[in-house]
Amino acid sequence: MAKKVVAQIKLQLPAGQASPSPPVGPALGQHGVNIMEFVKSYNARTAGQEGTIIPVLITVYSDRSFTFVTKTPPASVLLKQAAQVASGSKEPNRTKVGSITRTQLQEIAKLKLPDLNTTDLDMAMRTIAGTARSMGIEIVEG
Amino acid sequence: MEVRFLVPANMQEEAALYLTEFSGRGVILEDREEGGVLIRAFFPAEEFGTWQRQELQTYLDRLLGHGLYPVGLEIRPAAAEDWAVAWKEHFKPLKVTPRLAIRPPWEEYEPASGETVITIYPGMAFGTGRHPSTVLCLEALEALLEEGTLPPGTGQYQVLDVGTGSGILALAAARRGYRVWAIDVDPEAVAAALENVRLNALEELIWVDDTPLSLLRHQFPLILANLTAQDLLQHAESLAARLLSGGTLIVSGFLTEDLPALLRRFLSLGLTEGPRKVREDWVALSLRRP
Repeated sequence: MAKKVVAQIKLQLPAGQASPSPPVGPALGQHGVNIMEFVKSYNARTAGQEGTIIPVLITVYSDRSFTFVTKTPPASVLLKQAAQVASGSKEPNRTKVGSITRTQLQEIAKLKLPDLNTTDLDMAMRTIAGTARSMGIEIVEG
Repeated sequence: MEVRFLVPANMQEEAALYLTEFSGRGVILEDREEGGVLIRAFFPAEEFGTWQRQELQTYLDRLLGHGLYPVGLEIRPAAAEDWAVAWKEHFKPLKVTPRLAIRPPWEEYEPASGETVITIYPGMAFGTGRHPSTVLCLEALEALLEEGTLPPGTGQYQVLDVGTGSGILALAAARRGYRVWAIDVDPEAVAAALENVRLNALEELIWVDDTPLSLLRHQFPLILANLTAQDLLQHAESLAARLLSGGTLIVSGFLTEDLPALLRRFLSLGLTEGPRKVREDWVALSLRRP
């Protein structure tokens, strides 16, 4: 049907864990969006990915109905999962916290490709490698 | 408590991830017109103490060590509100035409004499009765049914609602006793429409599914299509083909600037122009098959 967009809301939420409390409540409530319906739908769509963080873009229309799309998890979340480390290094230049293989780097780049400003896989790999370096995660052959 | 970081765009992923994990609840990201991204995280007041402030400071110091720093940082009390119910304040019963009112399921509404009421659960499907194109369609539908000139039709259904969304137009027609086939390609719209049909106890009169318009073989005395200009142009031939001789097609969801192209297209398919309604630049146009 005819849709006039009145707002786009960007959230980053733990998968399967959204609730009507902040940040979801104030973000959607101010636009008159049915918060519980969003919570239910987001948790259903991200079920099975618990433990990761999924960005979501919510489009609100002039009659206060809405749609949303989920994005790929942030590169740093995927890197930590791949390197099996809890957090990045506080001194990435001096202290390395872990490593991932070039194959893992390519897998992450492929996954992130739809949300990056490029369609070039090599470019995406370089971007992700930069994020890895800033977290103290090394890239090793393999 | 609410913690707000204003950061350059290239820092947003790092800062948003930090605040998401630190708060355990997620963040709101708001692009600023003046540049940068505002990241908002929330903490229960009783959980935000000295340790949390120190942790934030440590994080900021670490960023500074890498030559990064938020452009702005603010810690402020967050508004206390029960968000699970607060949004409902936006939805009150609404009289959309002289004969039709729409209410959400949690609001009572006492209809005046001659008035009908539809219950719509506001959610993910378009059509809560608040958009001009929906209101225009409802008005055009009402005017047509008042005329009583619809041919009887040959099939089980007298009305086809294309792109039903919340099901609002199908419900309005069914409230007047017509049997309606409502279609939508969006599965979430189909689910929402089915729920609204159930809420209004109109299961006997409305069938909802995701059959593509191009696969329908029946013809209908009345077709409602509140779509977009692009969709209407794309599906014009199918819409015209599904209209019975003597029947009416009501199209809406487009702006006055799109009217000439749409009119040309539908007239070239053998339909004739009927009444039109305009509200806030949105148009509803009735077309007839001679």
